[in-house]
Parts: sequence; C-alpha cells; structure tokens
Amino acid sequence: MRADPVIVAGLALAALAALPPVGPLLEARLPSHILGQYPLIVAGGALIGARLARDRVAAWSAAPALLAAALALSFWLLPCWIDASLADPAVRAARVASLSLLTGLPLGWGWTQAGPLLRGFFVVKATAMLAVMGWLLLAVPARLCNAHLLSDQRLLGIGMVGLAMAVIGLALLRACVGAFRATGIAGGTRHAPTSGSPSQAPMPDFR
Amino acid sequence: MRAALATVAVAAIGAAALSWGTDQGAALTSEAARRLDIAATPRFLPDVTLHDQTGGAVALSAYRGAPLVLEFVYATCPDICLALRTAFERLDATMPAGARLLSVSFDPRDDTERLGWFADRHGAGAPRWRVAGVADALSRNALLERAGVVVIPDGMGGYVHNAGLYLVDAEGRLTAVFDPEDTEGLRAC
Repeated sequence: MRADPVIVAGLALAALAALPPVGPLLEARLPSHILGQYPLIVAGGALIGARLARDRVAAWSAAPALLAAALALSFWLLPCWIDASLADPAVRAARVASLSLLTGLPLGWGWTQAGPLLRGFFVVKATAMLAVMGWLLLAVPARLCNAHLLSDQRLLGIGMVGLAMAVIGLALLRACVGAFRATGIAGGTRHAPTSGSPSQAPMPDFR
Repeated sequence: MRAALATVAVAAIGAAALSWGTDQGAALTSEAARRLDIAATPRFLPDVTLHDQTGGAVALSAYRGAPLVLEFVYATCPDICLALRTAFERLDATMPAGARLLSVSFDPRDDTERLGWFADRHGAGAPRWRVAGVADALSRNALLERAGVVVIPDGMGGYVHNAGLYLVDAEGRLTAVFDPEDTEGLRAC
C-alpha cells in the first residue's frame, strides 16, 4: 500500500514549520511565531483531516470537530504556554503534535463535513476573536510573554487586527460582487448593488 | 442529538484543559504562574559568590539572618531598571535597619567599574545596598533559573527581562516576587 500523497504533504508541511532550520527562525519573533509557524502546522494537519474526510460523510461530527480545533488552538495561544513551549522541548513537541492533530486535523475534517451555515458561523467567530485578540495585544501595556519583546507583541496585535480586517474586506467584496451578479442576471440589466433585492444577495444587509 | 452530545463533551474537555493550563484562570502569563509558584512553594537560591561595586566578594548565604530584597538588573539599563531604582530608593528609606538590598547584574559585561557606575547613579552604598555581579557563568545561570528570571537581548545591545522585587526571608528562602511599583505589598510581608 502506498502512502497517500496528501497526508504525506500534510506531515511534511507541519514538520517543515516545526523543525530546524525553519522552526527556530519562525519562533524567534512573536509575529512570525503566531502568524507564521502556527498556521503552517495547522495547515499541515488540516490537509490530513480534509483528506480523511473526503470519502466519509459524518455531518454530525462537523461542529464538535471545529470546536475542538478552536479550543486546542486557544490553549496554545495562552501566553504562559507560548513561553513554556519555548523553554521546554517536551512542551514544544506537545504543542506541535497538538496544533497538527488536535487543531489542524479536526479543522480539515470538520470544515469538509460542515454545511455553509456552520462554515459561515465558524469564520465569523474566528474573525471576531482574531480582531479582539489583536486589539487586546495593542491595549496591554505590559509584556505577556517573557520570551518575546513588547514591540513584537504590538506588531502581532497589528497583524491580527489587519488580518481580521482583510477577512472582513474580502467577505464584503464577495458579497458586493455576488449581489451585483445576482441583480445582473435577475434583471437582465446592470443595476447598482444597492438597488438589488436583498433576498438575492448571498449576505444579509451589509450596508 | 449525537452532534449536540459530542459538542458538549468537546466543550467540557476543552474548558477543563484551559482551566488546568491557567491554574484555574489565575495565571494567563508565565510571569503570573511563576509568582504563584514561588509564593506557594518558597525555594532556596543557589549560594553564588557575588562581586560587588567595591571589588569585594561576598557569598549570597552571608545574607541569611535578616530579610533581603533582590532585584535583577544590568548596569546600562535605560528603562525598567529606573522603575526598580525608584522602588529600591523608596525601600532604602523605609525598610528596617537590618534589612538589606541587593542589585544583581545578569550582564556578564558588568565588571567592578560598571557596577560602580550603577551604584553611583542610584545612590547605592554597601553593605546596606550592594550592587553585584556573578562572575561564574554557570552559577549566574543557576541563580537566574532558580529565581525564574528570563533575559532576552533587545536587539539594541541591551536586554529585556521580567522585572520584579524578590523577597528572600531570614532563612535564605525566596518567598515572594512583587511588581517594581508594589513596595507597599513587599513591606507588608
């Protein structure tokens, strides 16, 4: 039996982000640690989870899987555990395993199993949390991680708020384009998005 | 039904893990966890040999018999050590006569001359307020690790470190860590 290439790619991606030479480089600064290494490890796990879910239907498992992913991720975003993982190799290994198998894998699995409503809910919640975390990082005057600089903490805050803004901007753009297309097809003529019927827009009132 | 049960189970496990990971919500940062840990289980510090601003050597164990307040600094620190300095000056003026103050430098570059600058700048006079370094790197690291001091380079030739006032009791045990601003809390101990 040959190894599935998607699963191999997922494992390789997580390993690449966690092990030297790339791992320590990403861990050296807080923004690249949280917005670089974490997403790469999670993406590695998510590839595996999505591959496993491809031929299996278990819609009931979508919500618990996505919740597990969110909770496992939030554990490793606690400042004390970010510090601990940098100070202790065993904790670091536990973090890599947990981010790939308890966050990434259920994320890929749950996302594949989830319907559009749950997906939307998940994205909205995640984006809101990202913005709140970024704002908190910018508001806190003290260092939260003993292993990272205050300026890096600010930078991470800006990065998180920026990322949340980008997601919101993208969603708005998609909604506008969708509304424009919907009205264009329905009316046969070009209308401004605001004149379109709200029921035809993929997103509710965004004005 | 299955989905709801599984979701509740995941939420319960997740909440338990987060609670465990934060000492029931008491410590979100490693600094808070460290202070809780020290207060709950006081520990002896390694008996290192200190070299002070006058060029003299003294063992940390020689301080036993009276309360001691420690701070960890480096001689060329431009910011956080100023807060510590204010705290130490206030303690110097208000602490009982027997109590001692000790500024320990974690910077290997701090020789007698640089410790002297720091002492002059802050009005520190031995033996009441000693400014000292630990020449031996192994002992220095052992002391920092035992006290939970984390020092990282700030990228501009200086350091960033978790600042605090470290209370060592008459038996030589580290019993509490306070914020530099919290001299009231420290005196109450």
